[in-house]
Amino acid sequence: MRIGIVGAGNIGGTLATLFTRSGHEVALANSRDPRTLAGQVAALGPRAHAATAAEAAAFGEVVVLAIPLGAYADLPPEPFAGRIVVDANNYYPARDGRIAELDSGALTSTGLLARHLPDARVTKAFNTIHWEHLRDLGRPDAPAADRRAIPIAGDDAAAKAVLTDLIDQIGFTAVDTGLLVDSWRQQPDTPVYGAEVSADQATVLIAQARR
Amino acid sequence: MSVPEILARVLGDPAAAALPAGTPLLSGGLGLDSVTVVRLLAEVRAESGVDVADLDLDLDALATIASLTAFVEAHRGTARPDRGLGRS
Ligand SMILES: NC(=O)c1ccc[n+]([C@@H]2O[C@H](COP(=O)([O-])OP(=O)(O)OC[C@H]3O[C@@H](n4cnc5c(N)ncnc54)[C@H](OP(=O)(O)O)[C@@H]3O)[C@@H](O)[C@H]2O)c1
Repeated sequence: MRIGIVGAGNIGGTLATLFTRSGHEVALANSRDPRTLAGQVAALGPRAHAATAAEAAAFGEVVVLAIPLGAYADLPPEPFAGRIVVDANNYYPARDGRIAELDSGALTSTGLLARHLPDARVTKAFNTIHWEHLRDLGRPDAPAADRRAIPIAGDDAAAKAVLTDLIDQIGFTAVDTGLLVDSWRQQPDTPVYGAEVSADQATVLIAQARR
Repeated sequence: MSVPEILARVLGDPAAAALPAGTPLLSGGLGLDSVTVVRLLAEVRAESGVDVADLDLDLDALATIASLTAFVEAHRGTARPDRGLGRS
């Protein structure tokens, strides 16, 4: 599968490694000239290439966003049309600036992104796992019950099915948090956020979230 | 309404009310996803006044139909005195 990754840092770079290892083609972008990624994509091998954010979006059937959340408004919506977008971002006001609709709970952070990308099939995943755990804890050969859970959310069931399969390939197990309006249950400061747990444990932690 | 009856309603399957009490709610049993668990606990709370997620921090109560039933029975009337009053 062709996967675009916007954000080449801790999370984006780690996912680029995991997805190329699983046999996928990856276009990797940061905020600058793609040439700044030459060394990183060379290390990823022949399945990876550097791109601009717009090119990565156009390239991917699935496009992961792993950037500081406050930068979402920089993304050009057009190339994301029809794409399965996976939002790994978290809202940290100290880094991202205050966003009133998120502070009030009127919108989830992924809901905010979905509003910016109206023609994309927006999902949320990878936001609750520390990047080193993402790098190290995948167990593609282990049964689902022995794997670490990764909560996902989204309104498009077919998109979530694709995402669930990708998560399975890199050795984790996806747990469905619900629709984008439910995705506050996996945002920072909820029980499942950062929790190193199995799918069953994640299920109960997601059910336990309060706001 | 009993826990098995609530479960049957949430699942939209009347037969679920007659499942063996030892049936696990999560993997190895009904395999409820978090969305369904959220709905189940909301219904349990509305029917019994027992807020399982609030009271059972490990949610051991969710192991099986029997453990959830026992948990709800043990806390019925204590969690919400206003509701418990009408029952005694
Ligand atoms: N770190 C974790 O363990 C973790 C875990 C879960 C979720 N998250 C969330 O995931 C997101 C990324 O975190 P991270 O730790 O991977 O960050 P990071 O290491 O700082 O990397 C951020 C990346 O985003 C790129 N970027 C910034 N602005 C951009 C823009 N306008 N367009 C395109 N690319 C842009 C940066 O490119 P430049 O180098 O060109 O600036 C960099 O490659 C954040 O929202 C974070 O909260 C992080």
